[in-house]
Amino acid sequence: MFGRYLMLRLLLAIPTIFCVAVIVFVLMRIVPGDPISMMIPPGASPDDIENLREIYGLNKPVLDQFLIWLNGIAEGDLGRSISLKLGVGQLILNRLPATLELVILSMGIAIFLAVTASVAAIRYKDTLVERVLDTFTGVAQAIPDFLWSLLLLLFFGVILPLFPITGRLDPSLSFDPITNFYFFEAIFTFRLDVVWDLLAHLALPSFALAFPLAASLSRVLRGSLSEAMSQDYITLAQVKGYSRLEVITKFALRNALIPTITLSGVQFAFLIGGTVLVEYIFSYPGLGNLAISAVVQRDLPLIQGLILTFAVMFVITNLLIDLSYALINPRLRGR
Amino acid sequence: MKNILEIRDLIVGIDSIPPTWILREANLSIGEGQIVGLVGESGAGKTMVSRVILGFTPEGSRVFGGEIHFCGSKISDLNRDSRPFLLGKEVTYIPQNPMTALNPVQRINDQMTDVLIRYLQLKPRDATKRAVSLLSEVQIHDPEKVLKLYPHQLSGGMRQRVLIAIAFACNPSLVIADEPTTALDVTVQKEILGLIKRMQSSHGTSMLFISHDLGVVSKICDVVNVMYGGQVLETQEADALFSAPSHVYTKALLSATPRYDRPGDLLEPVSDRLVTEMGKTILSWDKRAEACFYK
Ligand SMILES: Nc1ncnc2c1ncn2[C@@H]1O[C@H](COP(=O)(O)OP(=O)(O)O)[C@@H](O)[C@H]1O
Ligand SMILES: [Mg+2]
Repeated sequence: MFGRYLMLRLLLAIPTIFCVAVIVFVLMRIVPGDPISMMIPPGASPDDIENLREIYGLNKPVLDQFLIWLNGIAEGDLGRSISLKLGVGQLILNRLPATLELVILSMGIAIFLAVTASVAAIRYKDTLVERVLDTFTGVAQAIPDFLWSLLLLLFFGVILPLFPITGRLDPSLSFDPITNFYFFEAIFTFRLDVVWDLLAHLALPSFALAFPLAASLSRVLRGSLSEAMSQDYITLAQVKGYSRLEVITKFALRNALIPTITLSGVQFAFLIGGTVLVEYIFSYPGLGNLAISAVVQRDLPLIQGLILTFAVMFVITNLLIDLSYALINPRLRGR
Repeated sequence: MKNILEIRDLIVGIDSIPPTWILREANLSIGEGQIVGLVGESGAGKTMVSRVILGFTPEGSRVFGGEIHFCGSKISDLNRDSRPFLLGKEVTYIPQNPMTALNPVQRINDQMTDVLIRYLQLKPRDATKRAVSLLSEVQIHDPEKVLKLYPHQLSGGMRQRVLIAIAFACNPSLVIADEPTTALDVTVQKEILGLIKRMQSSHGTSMLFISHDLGVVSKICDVVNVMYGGQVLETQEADALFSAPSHVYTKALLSATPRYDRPGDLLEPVSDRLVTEMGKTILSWDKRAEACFYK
């Protein structure tokens, strides 16, 4: 039953992604700025420009361009980057693992912080602890991720130089990975020095991304937790002799996660968008950084490919959230 | 007979000025192996009595006076951690609403075995075996299958049977049942009542059975306490209470309750005069108490 539901969700994702593709394509051709003018040397003749337009297919009507692009996608070809002169698909695949590692770590940190903070706030309800946590949550939520980046960079990169502030891996470490999933590969090949260095590089950007996310997650989770704490099954757990902390973690938490997951799916998806600026600030070689240079260069095929990738990641994130929802809520699970 | 629980002149109120009195010198005792009924209309303070014993009093409430003794040792405050018994093992609870009392995200097996593992130090596998026999004891067919289910897959009656099994799991010395059949429909109600009675006598457990329904209480209790306005007005052996009630309120309650043994009788609502009378008594008690505690 649930498998069918997942299939349906996947099928429904196709029109979503198609719409994103159309909007991006049209938008890119409406906004001012011409990719060709960015790449021609000064003093090129109008004929040269016309030639270049023809090479990249920019002289054709927009609809034709769109159909050519769609056709390419269907064949697994996202076109060629104008500024980097490489296949867009290849460029994206090279950068994707770095971003995925950042996103996954940030989510992990955010979930950990949110759960810890909410459980502590409920455990120490009406005490100083709750008020302190309230303050932290407020601050963490009020400051956006790129500002957190700058703050963390300033305090833990410059004033107190604990962490490296640019890049993904120290180039002096000899590490020749087969894939671009450095982190997983380093773990599987037992390169603990590399794992350590990757984590050091990830620390600041992932915390910058995690703080606001953790704050909004913990808001929702705390609401659901305190709602769950007033339920009859909690009374029964208390009467069974469980301590307050046990009651929260063993009984209330899992129940509270159900509404939390529904309410915070969007927040997770926003995290993907958040990587763009944060990666740029930390010169982290992921998709976000690639996206910024693509925009600066008016590199239409690359921008299109990137946004499509973001859209797919968005859809997959939502799918994973639905999946975890079903895992936690037995009422949704088929037997 | 030895008393397992004794409540003497217990005064509990919400600590405001003046206090909101909830229990006004309530007295109650539960003899070993007895089922003791506590009846009274809604708001009489029955749930509060059970909460005081278990240590789950509402926020801001306080014991102003009186004593509670459990097996001879005194429970001096409302703090749950200072109970002289192991909550969940020696004293357990059957809730009113079986539809909401089980954890929706846990299998029945986990909800039954946790206390067995926690208090009897059973291995999970042995705990499951014991859970199977407990479920057969509460007359659930195919207990192995039921253990694998989630609460939402069971009917209300089934869930109440599971909750009863949980309450008797560690052979408690006292079970407190707060309106355990009120949320069930009438046919199921009768079965569950019979079941509770059977479990109580086969386990030799003492029991506090709370209900607003004199008819229900009359069927299973040895001793009945009639409660009104936070006071226990009358304590009688069940038979005596029904044949010769002494308090006017009990008489009024009895004539307002349908009798199975006297089907022809007309029912009579509790008269307005009596209600006013009772209200006055409570008011004068409150005045006296406030003069004592807040001068
Ligand atoms: N948290 C609370 N705050 C104030 N008053 C309460 C609270 N809980 C119960 N009461 C009062 O205590 C009285 C007894 O309540 P309760 O024990 O639930 O009655 P019963 O179970 O007999 O219906 C009621 O009048 C109720 O209004
Ligand atoms: Mg009640």
